[in-house]
Amino acid sequence: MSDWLDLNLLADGQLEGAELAAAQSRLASDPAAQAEYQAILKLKDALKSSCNPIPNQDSWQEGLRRLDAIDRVRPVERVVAKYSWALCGVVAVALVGAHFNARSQGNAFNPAMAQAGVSTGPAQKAEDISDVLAREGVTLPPITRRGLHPTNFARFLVDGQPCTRIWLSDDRGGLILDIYPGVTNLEGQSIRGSESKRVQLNSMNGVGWVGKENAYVLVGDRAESDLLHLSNKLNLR
Amino acid sequence: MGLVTKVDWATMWFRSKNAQRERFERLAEPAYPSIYGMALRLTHDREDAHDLAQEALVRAYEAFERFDGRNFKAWMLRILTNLYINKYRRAKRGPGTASMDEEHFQEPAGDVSEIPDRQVFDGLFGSEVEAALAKVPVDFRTAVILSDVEQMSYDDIAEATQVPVGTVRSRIARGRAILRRELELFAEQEGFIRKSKVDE
Repeated sequence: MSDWLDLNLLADGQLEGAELAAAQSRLASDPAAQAEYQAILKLKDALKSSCNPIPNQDSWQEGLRRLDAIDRVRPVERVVAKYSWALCGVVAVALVGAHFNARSQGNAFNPAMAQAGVSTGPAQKAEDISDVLAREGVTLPPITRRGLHPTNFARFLVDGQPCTRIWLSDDRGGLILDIYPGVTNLEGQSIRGSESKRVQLNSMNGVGWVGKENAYVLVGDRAESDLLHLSNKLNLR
Repeated sequence: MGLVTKVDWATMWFRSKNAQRERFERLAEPAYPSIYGMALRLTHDREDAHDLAQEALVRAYEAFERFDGRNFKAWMLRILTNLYINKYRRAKRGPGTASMDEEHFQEPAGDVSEIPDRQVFDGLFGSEVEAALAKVPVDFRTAVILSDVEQMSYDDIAEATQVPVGTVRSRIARGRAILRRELELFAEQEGFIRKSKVDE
């Protein structure tokens, strides 16, 4: 290794033991090496102080939009890919369980079945979701570029009654809207100043309310007041 | 009606997804100016730098589960540098743009004590250092930026640039030597110093 290379390594704190001692000894006795060493240190300082980070807010925002696009597509693919065998097992168990449950108890609600139906629902085409929204009488607020939009839906049974879950997304993340047909009463603490009920799920906030034909629950990882505001903007039958 | 039972699974998944995105943004936003800056210093083109930084961001997000939790900026810089080496530079490299042959590059010749570095560096502005840096061949420049601008370790630079640590050492030293020569040329042109013996 050359002395010149050693001086660079010394400046970067890369020498140890005998190599370090030799380089330091040379520095002490050789003015040329000392000058070279100082030049390396000054160059390092000049680079550090001159080459600053370069903010580019447009590029960052564009990056966020690309991440949004990934978020819209990736979850179902990832969950299905990662847990495909587990999901197959869950579905199989749910089907067998539902069969025996139906034989022994009639058409009672089976939570495992509901979960399987929810978790394995494939991504739906946009027009399918629109059809479901229309059928369920759900009209979303005007969709802006990064505004609220449906991303998926699934069917599940509650007490033998088909219910609908719609996944929504806006610029702050995802939401779940559950629609329970024929439910006319929701238990829970009333939210002051509204007819909605407070729902707490895994530390996530939710609001539930009863419409003319259905009960609705809107859940999201955000403030209750935001969910309440959003629920008022949803035009539901 | 047992609502809690029915939505547990979905909400847990949904919460972790949101939390992961928030955590990624929290780490990536302060690092992004360095990422974009590195991309610009590698490509010398704003559009290419934007594309490269964006792609690095997306790759990092997709691989975020594998981030070891230590130094996010260094991790992203590794992704960006890898991406640049494997994709952008390979696509853009023509016959005349190959980087300087490391084996044939000579260390500084002449008496270094003759070079008045204090005068050279005292007279420089950031833009001049950037301009001189741009003239350093890309392999050497990458190593110098990762070391002296981004303060990455030799091991991390070796991983980012896909070369052994020994090569990193020589690239950093030689990159600095080339940069010094460029800065001295500039200083001579501007009259900060007299013509050095190095070029005589």
